[in-house]
Amino acid sequence: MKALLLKLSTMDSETEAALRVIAYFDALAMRSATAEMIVRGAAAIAEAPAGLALSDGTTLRFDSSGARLSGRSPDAVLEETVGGIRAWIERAGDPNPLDALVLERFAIVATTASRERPVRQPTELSDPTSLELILSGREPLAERSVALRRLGLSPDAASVLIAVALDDDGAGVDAPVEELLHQLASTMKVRGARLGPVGAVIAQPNPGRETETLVRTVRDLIAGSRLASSARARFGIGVPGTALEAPTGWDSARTALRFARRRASGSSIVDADDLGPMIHLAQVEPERWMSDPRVRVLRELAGQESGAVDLEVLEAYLSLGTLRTAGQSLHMHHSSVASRLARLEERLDLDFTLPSDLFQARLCIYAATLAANR
Amino acid sequence: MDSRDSAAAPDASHRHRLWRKYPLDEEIGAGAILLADATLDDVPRFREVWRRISLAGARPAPANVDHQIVELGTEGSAVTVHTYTPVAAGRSARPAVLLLHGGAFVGGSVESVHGQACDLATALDVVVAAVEYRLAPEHPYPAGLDDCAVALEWLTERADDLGVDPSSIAVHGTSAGGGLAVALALRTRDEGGPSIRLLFLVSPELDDRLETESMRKYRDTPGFTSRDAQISWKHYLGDITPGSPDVPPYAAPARAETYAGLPPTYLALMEFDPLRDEGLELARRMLADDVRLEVHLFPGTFHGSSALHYAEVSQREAAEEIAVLRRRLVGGQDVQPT
Repeated sequence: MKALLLKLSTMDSETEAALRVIAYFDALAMRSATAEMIVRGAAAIAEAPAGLALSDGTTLRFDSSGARLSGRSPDAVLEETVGGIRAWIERAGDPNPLDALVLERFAIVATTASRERPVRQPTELSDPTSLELILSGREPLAERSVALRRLGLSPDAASVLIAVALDDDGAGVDAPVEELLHQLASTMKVRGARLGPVGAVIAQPNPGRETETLVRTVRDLIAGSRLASSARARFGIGVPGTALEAPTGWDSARTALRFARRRASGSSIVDADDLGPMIHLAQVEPERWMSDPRVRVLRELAGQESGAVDLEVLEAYLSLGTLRTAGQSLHMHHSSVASRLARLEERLDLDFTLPSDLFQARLCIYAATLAANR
Repeated sequence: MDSRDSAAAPDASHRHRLWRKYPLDEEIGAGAILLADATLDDVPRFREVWRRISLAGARPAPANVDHQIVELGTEGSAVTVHTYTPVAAGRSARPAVLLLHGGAFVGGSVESVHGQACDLATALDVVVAAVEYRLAPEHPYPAGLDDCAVALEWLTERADDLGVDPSSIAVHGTSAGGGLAVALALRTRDEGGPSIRLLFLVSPELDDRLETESMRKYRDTPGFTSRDAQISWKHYLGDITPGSPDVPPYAAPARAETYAGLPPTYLALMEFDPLRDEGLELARRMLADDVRLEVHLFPGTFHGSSALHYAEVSQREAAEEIAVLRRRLVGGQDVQPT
């Protein structure tokens, strides 16, 4: 039974009051409170009007009863600037002992806030039009900035884009996108939606978390999750950048997705950064690839049950280098690997003991994949 | 003052982690950390924490409200009523609100609703009479209800002296006060007592049987838990066993056979409140019995979350309280089906 509001000014110990202040602002951040809520909270806890000027020029002011105030007060005595936003408390008279702490927590938490109400359940799909807007290179920067905030994302923070596809049928892609949001939501800020047949997910590190490891974390989370074994889901991870650079990141994610081969079982993840200069292969017309007889053979094999397994074996052999390791990764005896590779050598007219033919085989797999994923 | 309070804050963040499973309104969920923590397991401490916080937040009545403390002598005991009367010259007879505070039948006092009483008196230009009813476990049922009945009778009989229009009295109760308000309305109906214009209920505590889905589910919600409800009924019912067939409807109004003939009712419920479903059941049965009813379930809220008065959803709750009381007491005539 706890139904009465404690006031800092009436708490018995300053330590208790300080701990409550910290816990309170942490909770606002944890619950993705909007900027309005954070300002109201600061005003209520400080028992004085509080305000916030955001980097886009918006000013928010509330009094301690939660009523919105207009304009900028001339006598803001305590203020702090963090990351392009200015937070203040309008204290008339002597400052309270906890004012400095309240202001500090207020300013820090306010940097994490969005102006609009955030998506309540980040594991649910967002409105596709907002996602489309932030991914479109044709939309003006200001529009994208507003849309990002509306989604609860920070325009300046590092972001990684993930494109998700599930075979040819677009409608089914909701499930792996939701699963991906669910996987990532505990570690980072994520929003996602289905754009036509492709799922789009944008991920940002939580405030204070490292941005360098973002892509690796995303990849590990996908690989370690149920998604990795869910049949036929394909993921393309884009080149990281700021959220305002999302259109570029999205292009590279979609290109990486084209390199992700459809598997008979299990998912396929391709990171744009790992492709290096090979990413430019995506610019070749699919018809041109299909004019090559070896590429046509691989496309044909991909459509057959046994042929699809042969392709898995070839891919494993190409990336791991020995019959034994390829066999281990596929839970297959190395002699089976050898016989399947021999069959492929015959079909493709290649000799896998020659480095030049191995390169041919690798290039043909990319080509067949790009021809299949238009 | 109390060393146990110093340890409250780390504990608060622990409780906050516990509460994360409830999709509370962001503001309300974070604000739960700012609420006083006192469990009903320790009644004296519970009362002390409530008293201390009520006093800390207290301000004298504003100059335009006349605050009087009146002792109503009855046989064997005395009921104290605080009246809050607007001083501005205006109407000779104003509508009145009989205000019954919450506190799980064991705690709370007029002090804890002093601010609310002043606000209602000024915002609506009505007389507010807040009742200092007796509390369990020292005074189990029917002591508290008897006190409320005495206060309502006094308000009606002395209407002329008090500047009250006796045909326009609302009974307003929150939590345990809401349970008392419904019981008072039932008793008044059955015994032909004073007429009540409006029954205004916020998260009323109605049912000692503790069998609803919300009661079973919300074991660790902020503000009120199923355990609090259990302790509350044990104290309030005294020698009567909670959940037994002996519990009378005037003690637990969920047990009333019919609500037919009750005054028009407004019911505010909180989403993550163990008392939510007994409130919804009251609403369903009142409608079945043709009671005029308005019901509002506030999303993302918990029991008593309106104490976080600055939050958006709390502001909506407060604005609606004024609007509903104004509509029923001050403005227009009540349209009753014929």
